[in-house]
Amino acid sequence: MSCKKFDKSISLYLDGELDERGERALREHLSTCRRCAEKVAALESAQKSARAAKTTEPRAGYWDTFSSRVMETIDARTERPADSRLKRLVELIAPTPGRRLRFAAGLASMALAFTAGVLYINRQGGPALPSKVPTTVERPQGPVAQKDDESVQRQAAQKKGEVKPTEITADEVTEISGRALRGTEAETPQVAAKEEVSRPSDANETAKAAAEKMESDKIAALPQAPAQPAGGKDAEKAGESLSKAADRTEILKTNETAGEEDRREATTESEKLARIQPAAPQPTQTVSLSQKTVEQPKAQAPPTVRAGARSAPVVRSYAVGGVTLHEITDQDTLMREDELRNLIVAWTTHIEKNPSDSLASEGYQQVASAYCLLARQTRDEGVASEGARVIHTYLDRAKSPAVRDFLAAKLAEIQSLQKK
Amino acid sequence: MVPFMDRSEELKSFEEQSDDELIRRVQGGDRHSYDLLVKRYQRKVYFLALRMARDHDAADDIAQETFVRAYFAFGSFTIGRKFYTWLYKICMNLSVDHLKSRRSLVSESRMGDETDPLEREARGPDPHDVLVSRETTTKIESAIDALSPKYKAVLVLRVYEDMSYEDIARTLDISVGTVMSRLSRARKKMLDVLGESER
Repeated sequence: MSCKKFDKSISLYLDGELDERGERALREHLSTCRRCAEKVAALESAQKSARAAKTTEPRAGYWDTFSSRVMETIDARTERPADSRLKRLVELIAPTPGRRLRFAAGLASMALAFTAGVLYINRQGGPALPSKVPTTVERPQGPVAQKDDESVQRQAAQKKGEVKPTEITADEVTEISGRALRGTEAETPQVAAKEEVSRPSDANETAKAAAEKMESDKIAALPQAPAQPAGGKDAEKAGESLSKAADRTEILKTNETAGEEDRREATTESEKLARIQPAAPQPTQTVSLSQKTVEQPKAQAPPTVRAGARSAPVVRSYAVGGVTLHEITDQDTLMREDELRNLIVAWTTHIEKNPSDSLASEGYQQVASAYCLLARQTRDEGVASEGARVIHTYLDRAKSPAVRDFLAAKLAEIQSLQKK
Repeated sequence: MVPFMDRSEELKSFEEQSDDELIRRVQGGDRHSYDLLVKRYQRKVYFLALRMARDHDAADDIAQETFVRAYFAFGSFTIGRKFYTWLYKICMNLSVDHLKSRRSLVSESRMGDETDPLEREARGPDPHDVLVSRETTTKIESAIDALSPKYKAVLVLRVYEDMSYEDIARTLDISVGTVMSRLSRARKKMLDVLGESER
């Protein structure tokens, strides 16, 4: 065998990777080939010297600041890509300073026009729930469908100024509540630019007022319950009232279409309701999507269920920590940042206080969805990392495989946002 | 109520955590865990970069960049893989890029460079032996430096880092067979350079 064929064997031999048979062959060759034997000796010596070379430590204090410098660079680079992209975009659009000035002026005009538009729309069509919650509630006596018609008529009359805006039914409250939490108040027919209807400052107030209205409605519906005067301006009273509502109603669902999918979920929901309210014999307004599994008092029309022919999205709410929280999904991209933050705070507080609560797994998913929506909206880069951390914690806690899958998907989503 | 925990105990418990545990936390957005990972591997990465670049400033740049890039690439890291192999991969890629750019800019002749950051070990009491040993090591390192980046990479990982063929293959994203053939060629080239310097 020629020496060249032993090159690879020599290398393997030096690394101790040559098998027994190969080593025997190499040793035989080395005993007869002086050149190869010298080569092995030289390489062994060189390798030994190289390994023996000692490294000098860098200057004193180098290691103390090493990791902090890494983190600083990471921070700087987290901010930089967006800035540089924006800069490149501006340079592409307006390469000269003169053009940049004109471009900036154009942008400013557009921003001004947009702001004016938003202000105008807000003035015309902001949240329309009155801050004064009615002391008397008109309870519909007829079938649900008829009630629906009455509601529509009253809304039309209200628009014309024929009916006082304080006269709203529980149905409308539910509807308003749902819309207010979704942040789509501008589309509602209750929007009234009347002076006597003051707009709540944010969706929480709207939700609270709605829940309070619902509570007073519920109390009025109870056989011995006295009519509860509801002071819309009194936040504490509203809170108390809301807590009572939460005690009675853990899950509120309204469904206008009662589709097949909801029916499938109904058993689970009813089980949940059964767990939450095992000993509540009094007729309450708690309903689920399934009329089969939850007993409804026949004498009373459920105010939160509407059986109208109109198709509308399923509105699902949870009573969490005294606040009624609307269920959010990926489609709720119109929700405002503050609404999402409020939702996250309410859910996380509830989960921390009641980790073994039956609603906890719902809460995990709601928080995860809220963080993902928020991360898409906000400029605050900490949101994505905070969200990822929280979702990760919930992922560890969640037991149901379905919930875990959902959280894992959300974690991946928020991590991709983090990277962006 | 959170039980009181001594700060040192808290730190100790963090440092005792495995790479995977820390990585999971980093992927969950915990920056403190990444700081701990950096501290755990900063020396290894720096000295690997120094072996490749043979220059403190370059090694510092490469090591810093390695950790920064690793942070932003954490999403692609799979728990269960060897973290240091993944880290070395980034470091070696950066080092090879650095060497390629340097080779195109500077003709390097570092023979007898007294300011070399890699200090030679003096093993014999005889100053003559010390000098001979230092000279030999300098020659060997210069011969390794003379190799093209891809040969230098395998040799450095094998000789200095004592990595297995499999780990080298993973780090450099090549097959084990390629690792073997590159090592063989690298050694042959190194001997050629040493032979030339002897003449």
